[in-house]
Amino acid sequence: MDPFVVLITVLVLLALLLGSGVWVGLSLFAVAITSLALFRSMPVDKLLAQLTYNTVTTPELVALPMFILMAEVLFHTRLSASLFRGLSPWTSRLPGKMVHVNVIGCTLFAAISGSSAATATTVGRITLSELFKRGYDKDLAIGSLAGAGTLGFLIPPSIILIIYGVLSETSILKLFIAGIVPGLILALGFMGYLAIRATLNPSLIPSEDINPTWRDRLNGLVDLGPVVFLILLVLGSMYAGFASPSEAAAVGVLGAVLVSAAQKTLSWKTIRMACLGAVRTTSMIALIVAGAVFLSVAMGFLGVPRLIAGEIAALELSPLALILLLLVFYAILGCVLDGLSAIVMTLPITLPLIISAGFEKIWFGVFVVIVVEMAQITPPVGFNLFVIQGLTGETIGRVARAALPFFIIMFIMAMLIALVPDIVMFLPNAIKLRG
Amino acid sequence: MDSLSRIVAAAAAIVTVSIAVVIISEIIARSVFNYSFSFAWEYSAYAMGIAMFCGAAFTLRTGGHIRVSLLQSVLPDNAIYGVDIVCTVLGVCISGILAYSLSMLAWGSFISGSTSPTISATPLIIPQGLIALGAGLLALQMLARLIRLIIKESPEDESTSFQVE
Repeated sequence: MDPFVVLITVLVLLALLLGSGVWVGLSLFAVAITSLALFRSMPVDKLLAQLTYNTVTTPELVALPMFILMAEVLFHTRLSASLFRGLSPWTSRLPGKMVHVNVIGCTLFAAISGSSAATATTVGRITLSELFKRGYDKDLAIGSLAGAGTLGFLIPPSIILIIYGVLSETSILKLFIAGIVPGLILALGFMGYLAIRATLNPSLIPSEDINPTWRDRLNGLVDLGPVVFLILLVLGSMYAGFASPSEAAAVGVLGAVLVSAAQKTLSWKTIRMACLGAVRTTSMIALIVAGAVFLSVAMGFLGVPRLIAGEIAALELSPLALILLLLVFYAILGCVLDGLSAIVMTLPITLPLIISAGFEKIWFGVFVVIVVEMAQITPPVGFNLFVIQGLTGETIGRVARAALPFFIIMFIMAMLIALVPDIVMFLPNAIKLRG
Repeated sequence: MDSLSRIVAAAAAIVTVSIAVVIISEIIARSVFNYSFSFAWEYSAYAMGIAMFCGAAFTLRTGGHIRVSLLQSVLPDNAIYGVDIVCTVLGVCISGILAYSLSMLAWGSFISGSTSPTISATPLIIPQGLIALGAGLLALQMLARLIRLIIKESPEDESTSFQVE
């Protein structure tokens, strides 16, 4: 069968199913089953069962439910309040003052959480109302939370990087190391933008003079204690080489339970809510990932990736033009799909493309994460927009407009790492890893 | 059906916690007693698969599985209702095929008595059977959703709210 006919059928079917609102994971299964039955007339059920079983019992994937559980436990603690108390005395000298708490808070929380929605929710729950109360500009406060919240995916641990690592057979640890520097640069970019806006237009920031003493700042450090403890526990154990990502995640769960107990928020109710919440998120992701794996194998059988790679190669794009093309493609896709689905669906085609263009798998992992982050804040479907809509009651349109400058900063960041891949690669290359 | 989903989801939650417990005890055993139990990895991977599928029905009931909601925001109410019925019918078919395939896999392992290629030689029917059970429940929950739509009951249970992920 002509792969071109297959490709068109698959795309039409996929658009039809997804568009009408069939669950994303099930749509992927359906398209794969139909195309195999139509074009290959092969017994689908054996392949389907074996692949699905293999996917959901991949040992490296165990880090995923563990990090999700950890974030769920932390969600029920008072960690966000202590983050705000700890950080706000330190930002008084920066142009823009407390809006920076959004960015720094998200950056710190991202280092213990693997999800950007969890980061935005946990940090924003306290900061947004505090910022509004003090008279900070709404758009600036909302936008900076929407933008910085997405750092949850880039700064390790990261759910997206775990899934990418499993799908592309790349070391999750190396991916985690590669995400650090771009994550910090992005955070600095956000802060720089906030500082410039605040300097150009001082009315955005309330003029009230709060002069925290050094005593306040030191007390702030004490408040940051639990967060720093968790960062050291999770990242420290991984980078010191004594734990694999999954083990570090399990240790993180234990650490989160300890913090919860220390803040006296640990109860049977919170444990039950956290566990059920974690099961729910894990199941949701598992269905999509299993569907995507099956679809990608089906496409491989039907020769689709080879066709597309051939077509793109015939265009003779420069590597940079290819990246730009992918960036635009993902930005459009990110408008209608959530980032995770968009990535797992397209990876079987884009990964070989990018490798033949001379980029490395680890580099592409980080690139893909930045792209997912952008998808998180593009309307109409963007999880961080939903989260902030839920927190503030503002419309999606307003939140999206407030987040637009941060979207542009991410876009620039994606181009920057394409021009200078070493921003991503030098750290994982420099660190010699055991195993 | 709902209470069944809930019970199985609770079991999945306990399984998830047990993964953490198994891994942590493995770390302690390895670093303190210099003794590694090799089954820790194998079992936590099984446990993850079981938890993922056994939570699926509950996730559906509480509206946790992702779907594209673009159409729902532009169509009039009765059209949304029709589209939702079509989606759910498709959902029943797909999850049905999934459940059937996974059950056949488990059944095959049971007939041939397949065991895992590791030291523990776990009979594969145990993880495969439980995963198939989870997939079967998802299909049943999907069917229940269809019935709820037809008798015009709310398909999503919003009594418990969750953090958005």
